Amino acid sequence: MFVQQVIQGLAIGSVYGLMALGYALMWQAWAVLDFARGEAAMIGAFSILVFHSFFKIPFVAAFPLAIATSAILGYVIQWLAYRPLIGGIPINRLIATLGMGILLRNLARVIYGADPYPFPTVFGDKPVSIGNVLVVPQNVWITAIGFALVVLLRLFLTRTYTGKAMRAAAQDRETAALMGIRVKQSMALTFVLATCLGAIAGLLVAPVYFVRADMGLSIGLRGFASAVLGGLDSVTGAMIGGLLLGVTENLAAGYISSGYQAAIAFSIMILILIFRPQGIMGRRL
Amino acid sequence: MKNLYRKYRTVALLLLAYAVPVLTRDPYVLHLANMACIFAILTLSLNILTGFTGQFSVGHAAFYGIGAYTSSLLAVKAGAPVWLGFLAAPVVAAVFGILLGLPTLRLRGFYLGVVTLGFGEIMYQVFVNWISLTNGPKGLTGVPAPRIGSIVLDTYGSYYFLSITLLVLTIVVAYRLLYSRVGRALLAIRENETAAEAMGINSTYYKVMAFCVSAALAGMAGALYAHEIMFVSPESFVNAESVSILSMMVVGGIGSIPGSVVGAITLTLVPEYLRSFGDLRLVVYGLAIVLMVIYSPQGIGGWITRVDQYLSGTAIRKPVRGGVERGAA
Repeated sequence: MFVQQVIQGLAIGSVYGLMALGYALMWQAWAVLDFARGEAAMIGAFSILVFHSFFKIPFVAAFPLAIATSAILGYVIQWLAYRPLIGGIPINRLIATLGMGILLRNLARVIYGADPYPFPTVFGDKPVSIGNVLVVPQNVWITAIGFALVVLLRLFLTRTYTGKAMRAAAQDRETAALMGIRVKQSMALTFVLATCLGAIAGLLVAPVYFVRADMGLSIGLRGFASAVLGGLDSVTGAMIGGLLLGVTENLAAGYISSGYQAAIAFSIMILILIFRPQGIMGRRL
Repeated sequence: MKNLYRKYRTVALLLLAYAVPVLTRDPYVLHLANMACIFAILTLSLNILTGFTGQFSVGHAAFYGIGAYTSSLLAVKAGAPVWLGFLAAPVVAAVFGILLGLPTLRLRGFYLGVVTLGFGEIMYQVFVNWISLTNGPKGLTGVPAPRIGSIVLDTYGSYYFLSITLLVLTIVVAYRLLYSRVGRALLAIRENETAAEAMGINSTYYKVMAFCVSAALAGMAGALYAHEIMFVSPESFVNAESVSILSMMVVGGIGSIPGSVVGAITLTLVPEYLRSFGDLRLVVYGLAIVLMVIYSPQGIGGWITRVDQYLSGTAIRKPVRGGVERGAA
């Protein structure tokens, strides 16, 4: 029971981690807590739904198509609502993201309706028993993809020129601009990257939680909590925060009550914020 | 003309506000008028916290819900008189406000926003899951209407007089607070907390106090809501409700008292008239917030101030450029 809950928690936790990475990137580059971040997951999930379930394109081809669609939408979104507010009052930026979230969520509802769409499992949902523990292959895949993406993201941010430019622009906009980095482009790229991570998170959970217009709310909130838990300025921290939240939530559901699942997760988050506001991996504030 | 306007603008507005049940008998419109009052109180309460003090809250619906449940539980389960509920709701909400305000000792800016968001989510789950107390998702029915002497305020029209009176009271409290020593301290904290402390302002005290006042007013709005609808269920206090209160504040103008009221009225009424658009109305809602914050960050309150200054002849020809970057990340 315990091991099983932990494995399940790790799977959903790595999805939260991917969302948290998006929050951390947005916090670094745009200095905003992006309340429309969850909508990236919704966009990703609906993109894969359209390509895979409606157009019958095989998953291997539909996956990159869905990511590309999300990336393009992400670029348009930041151009419409985020870029005009660079350099303004922080609270205005934050409220713009809130408005964008409402806009996207309800646009999806207008287009696709409020009912959830089932999504066929790609990685298999038949449990396989290893020893006396039942493991769902899907969960293993989700966890593996989550971990692989974190490693890739770290490499991208530390080893490539584009990644370094993004970090420089996040650290000090003006100095980065003086060094010849195209700051606005770099910020846009960060936004697109965050959207892609969110989209991947969304299409990973699509078989488990179905595809719904308002799916971004709950997954976004949890990703947000994970990012805060791990520390908003650390890539590794965001992932650890996600895993921690996922495991805690599942253990709480298994041992205490599934109704209070989210309440317990958020209580832990608040306690961490009070006693260690910079998060587990974050630097001192 | 200008003197006349300056002298009678308040009285005229008050008369107009109190005349609503005389001007229309349509219960649907009167119900909307009540809801507009309730949301105006909520928006003002959030504005005291966010607009005046610069403390961000994305979980304001929690205080609203605490107030609503306190007052209706007292009436339904304990059989207490309704007015006791109206007194208890702000008190209980204020206690939670202080509890939530205490983390501000350590947290600044958006981190506080995160805590309030989590708090809102926790309270919602408590409302849903504590079935023995709150009756869970099914909600509490039979919340009684208040009575004054032998008059029972059980119609939307008669209830409106209570709603508008409480709203006027809230507006007075907000103005008295803003233009007092306390209000100036709150503004100083918003603009620059470190500088405020250097000037001898006990920022912890004032921040917790802002939380307390804000929560109490939201709790009162909750009681007002519960006895108007005569039914409470957790769905009225979801996170989306906190977001609408926040949107009302933004559309009205952050830190503007008349803006809060007009913003709340606008965003309560406009979606109702857009009902024929179905879900599209919420798309418009989101779009309005984005456009407003990009093109008119001062909100409706900014327009009102300009019109008011023009009419009363106090307009400054050249606007003073202030624009201090506040609440640094």
